[in-house]
Amino acid sequence: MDQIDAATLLQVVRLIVAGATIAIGSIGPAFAEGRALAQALESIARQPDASGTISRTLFVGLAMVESTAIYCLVMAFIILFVK
Amino acid sequence: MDQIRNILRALDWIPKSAWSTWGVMAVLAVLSCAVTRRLRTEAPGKLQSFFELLVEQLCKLTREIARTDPEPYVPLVGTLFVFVFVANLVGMVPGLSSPTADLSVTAGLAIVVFLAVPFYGVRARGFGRYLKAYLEPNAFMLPFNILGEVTRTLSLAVRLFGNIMSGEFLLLVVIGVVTTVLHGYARVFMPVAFVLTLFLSILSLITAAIQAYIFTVLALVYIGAAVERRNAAERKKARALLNEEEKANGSD
Repeated sequence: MDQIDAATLLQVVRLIVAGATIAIGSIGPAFAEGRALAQALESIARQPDASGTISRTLFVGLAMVESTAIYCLVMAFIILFVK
Repeated sequence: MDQIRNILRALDWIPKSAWSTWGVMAVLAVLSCAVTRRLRTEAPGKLQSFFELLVEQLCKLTREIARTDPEPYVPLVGTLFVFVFVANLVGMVPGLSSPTADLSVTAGLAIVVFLAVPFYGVRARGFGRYLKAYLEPNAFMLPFNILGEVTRTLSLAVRLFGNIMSGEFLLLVVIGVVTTVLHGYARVFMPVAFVLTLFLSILSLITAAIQAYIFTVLALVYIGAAVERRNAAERKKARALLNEEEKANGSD
């Protein structure tokens, strides 16, 4: 079997780590967003009058929760592309 | 002929996203001029009615989120919304790619928001009181407040970029896999890829609208927070006033 040189090995490690970063990093936000969405739906079902306020707050909240996943995306990009 | 080729080569260093950004800007500028050229109060045309609806909704959104007079903020926020929305949709046109799929463009937009926050904050509350808001709730929080200001700008840029870019990238991956890896079975997998890209396109249409909305709302939240950062007592008083107002409205 041929010897794998260091550069190729580094590239392989990069790919694996970047994939793991996104995979693990999106678990938390996914659960959190699901919880927030479920709660918001329940609130809207109870109080349809407040649906405007609830959904707007939900959007902002989801965007905040999502930023954790976005930081993971940034890290994955840095791992992949920054030499 | 050579001259044209030379000119084209000279223009080559300008990135694609710059072309599409300026294209979107030109289209929007021309459209705005055309719409506002002949504004009528009686029997407005369809186009005017549509844009009046848009402006009205933006005013309402601003009033609800920033809880102040929307007039100074709607020009910036409305421009952001319309630009981001149209820029997201540009990717749907075959042969073009969204300017917002480029991190440089979204970073520019985020920097606009980053600079607008102190601008509006200082204008509404004065230099000293705006700066003092960084020391709330106490001086110990100063580095965290500054850090928050920077990271939220970063996440604003990367959120828009990530969502739009991943939409386009997924299309590319699906088509790429069918035409290269599964090339031998293209006849079988082409219909699958067609349906899949159709659904992905619809998904990115929805994403385009939602991300434009989220970008606008977040910009509004940041500006609104800078404009009316109050201390706890003032906030309590304002909330009581608002509750009374809502009660009065509700009993009508």
